[in-house]
Amino acid sequence: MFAVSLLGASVLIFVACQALPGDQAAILLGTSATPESIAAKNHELGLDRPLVVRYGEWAAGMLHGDFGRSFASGDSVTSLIAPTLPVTLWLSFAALALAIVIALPLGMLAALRRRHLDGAAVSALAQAGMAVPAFWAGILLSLLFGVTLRVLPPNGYVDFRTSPVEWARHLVLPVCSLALVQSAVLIRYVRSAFVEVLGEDFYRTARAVGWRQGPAMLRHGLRNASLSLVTVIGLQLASVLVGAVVIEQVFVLPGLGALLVRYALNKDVMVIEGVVMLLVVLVLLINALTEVAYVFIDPRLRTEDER
Amino acid sequence: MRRASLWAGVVLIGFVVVTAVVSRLWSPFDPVMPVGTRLLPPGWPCVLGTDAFGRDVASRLMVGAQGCLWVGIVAVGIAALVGVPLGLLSAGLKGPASEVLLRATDVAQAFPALLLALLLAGAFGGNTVTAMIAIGLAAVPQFLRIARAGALTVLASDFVLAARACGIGRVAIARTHVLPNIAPLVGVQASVTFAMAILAEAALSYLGLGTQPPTPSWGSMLRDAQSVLFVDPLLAVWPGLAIAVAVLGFNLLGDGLRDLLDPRLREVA
Amino acid sequence: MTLLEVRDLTVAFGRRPPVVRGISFALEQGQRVGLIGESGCGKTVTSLAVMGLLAENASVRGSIVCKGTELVGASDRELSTFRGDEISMIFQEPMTALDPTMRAGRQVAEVLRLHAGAAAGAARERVLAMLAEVGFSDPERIADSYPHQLSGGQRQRVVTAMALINSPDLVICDEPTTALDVTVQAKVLDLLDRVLTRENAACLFISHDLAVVSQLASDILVMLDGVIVERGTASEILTAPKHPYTRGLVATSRLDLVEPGSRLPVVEDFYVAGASG
Repeated sequence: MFAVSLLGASVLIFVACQALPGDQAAILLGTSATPESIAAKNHELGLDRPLVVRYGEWAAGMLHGDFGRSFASGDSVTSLIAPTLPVTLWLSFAALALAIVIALPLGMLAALRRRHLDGAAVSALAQAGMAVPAFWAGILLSLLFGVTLRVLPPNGYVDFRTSPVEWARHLVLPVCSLALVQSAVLIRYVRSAFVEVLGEDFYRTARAVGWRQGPAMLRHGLRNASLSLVTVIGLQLASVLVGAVVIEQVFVLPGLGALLVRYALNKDVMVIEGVVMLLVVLVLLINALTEVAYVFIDPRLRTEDER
Repeated sequence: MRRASLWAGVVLIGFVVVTAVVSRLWSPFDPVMPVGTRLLPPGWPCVLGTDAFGRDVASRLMVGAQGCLWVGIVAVGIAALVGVPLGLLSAGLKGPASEVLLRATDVAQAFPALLLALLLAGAFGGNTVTAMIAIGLAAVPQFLRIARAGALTVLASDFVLAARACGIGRVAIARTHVLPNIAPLVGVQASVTFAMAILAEAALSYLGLGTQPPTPSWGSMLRDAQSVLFVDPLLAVWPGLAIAVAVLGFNLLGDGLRDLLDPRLREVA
Repeated sequence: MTLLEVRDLTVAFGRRPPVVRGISFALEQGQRVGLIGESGCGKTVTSLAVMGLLAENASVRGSIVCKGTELVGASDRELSTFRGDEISMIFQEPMTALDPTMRAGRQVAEVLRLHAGAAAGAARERVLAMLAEVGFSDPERIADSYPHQLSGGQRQRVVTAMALINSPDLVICDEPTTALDVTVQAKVLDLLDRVLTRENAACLFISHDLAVVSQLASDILVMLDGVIVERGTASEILTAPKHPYTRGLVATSRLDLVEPGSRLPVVEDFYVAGASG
């Protein structure tokens, strides 16, 4: 299933980018292009070969980790992607982790105290938080902490090996702006998952044997709510990865997103295909992992046992 | 209490719609041409001041509402017009064809709107149209799923079985029974997708891959504002606030509709 | 000392008229009292009020005193020390009463460790002993099973084990056999009888079924529309019911006394709502 999805996605990406009359050469040659030079460039880049051949070459190359070469610079796409991947991955995972850490307790609170002021306030805040564009939050945060208060760098990036402390300091604001919006979304899901738990009979049993609300929710609610939450987190990871793309622009981080935007502006399809394909692979991988996670969480899915 | 969500959403959206409509006929100044000194603070006559090029911020904000609504309408339109029929089809089909469609939907769902938009922008160049199409296509799977789930529920209900027993054809059933019953579900999804579309378009414009200058767009206004952030921080507040208000409005509307329709939904099932 | 004394208990939800209207009753140590009535008469609400597990919008007035402590208005922290330790409850739906993600043995052990603070090893011993006591011939296997691997009757027995492992003084049973097959019903009732006797625990047995209640309870309270309309020993109620509603209940539970060929009795033959308070 995974393989089929991968194949389908790759075809989609390739077709979207290259099936149409490529003016790649024209762009590259700029204003000095003549029909002859365009044709020559096309030939040089291998763009005058049949679509299927080009796809086959690209797909085969990918299986070896070779994503082709940039049309503009000739650099291997892999070499362009490699240094940017850690940046984006760190940003995304840290943001999601922080969002989960924030959203779990707040979501549980919102569920338990939903008929009280504090629970309702949390829900309202989450609603507002969801409406805020992450990149706007980033700009405002960099304004507040980077410019006005000057406690954190407003933008830029420092490699981990150069200085771990500076690396961390430069990632704080981007991670927070992404996490802020993600946690708002997650709070609502966590809340609804736990509200469902509150109506379950096994929660009532837990209360009847003497657990207070908090412990009952944690000991019994968490694992039961996890099923739906794991699904949501899987979906959110995709949206976090994409959100990272934008945040990297706000804070000038040399990540995958920056690469994508720069080459999209130049319409250098090889690079774009490579990056998008990679992102799609990541997303599909996460989906597959969530399926595995289900089996861990819900014993009912494990074996078709006798009674 | 539930209704508060609905009405709050309607009010906020109304605000945006009215602004967009009014700006079509009139705005304080020309949104594209510079009108005064650059980076003026809020005051008179430029109520919200001017931007880095000397353009009136208030006028640009107002006209930006138009773009925001257009993108939402077109994107949701594409998503619904493609997704709902496909969803109905998949509910009606049995066997391998249905499976294939479902798998394809799963694959399609792996493409967040922004990613698809970046892809299209790279291939065709970024502009409002590619943004609208990309966002619309990316939202198709959600509409497909909603339509399919709703249709399956309706098709299993007694009155549909009775209709089929009377020999009424499947298309007629789809038209008279399925569509009216899934309309509320689709409506809720439309509201939610609209909100997502606004956010996505804003992000794309911010990146330079959406609405192209000089047409005002809240996203690109934020990018302009960022370059003068140290000098005039207020410029970064207004467009972001506008986006948040619009998105909040549609989210609240979606929530309100969902709460409103919940008891009714159960009646269908 | 009286184990449980309920005085003038009134429970209302929101602004609606009270569901329980000023009822009073008492339980002695080891006494088994049946609480019967039709759905909606307030019997479950009464039991939840004793446990302190009513919904947030419930307003409770009156007094519930258990072993000297006033339960109405007590904090959740205080009530939690009672629940599972001195008062426990068995609910109606065994299929959904257990956490599906946790093994049965662990759920029973949790109750023990929560109140008795036993260490893991010692707890396991007690759990297995308790499971054997509730009638499992293979307590090890049951303890290691997940709820979805157990039948309804088995799950109800696990729930019973959870309710009794801390030797509570009072066990409230809310229609514990209603959702079970008739054959399994008899076994569960028998089990309850044995275990309650062994632990010398009092029992408030709630049901709509007079026949089931009379098997277990020595005294019966008849509830209708939020008030107790009649009370007495089980034999008094069954042989000489005074209130018309009770007479209706008794008549409809003794279908074996009906003349073949004649019309079956219904409660309305004896009592019509609104005719008397």
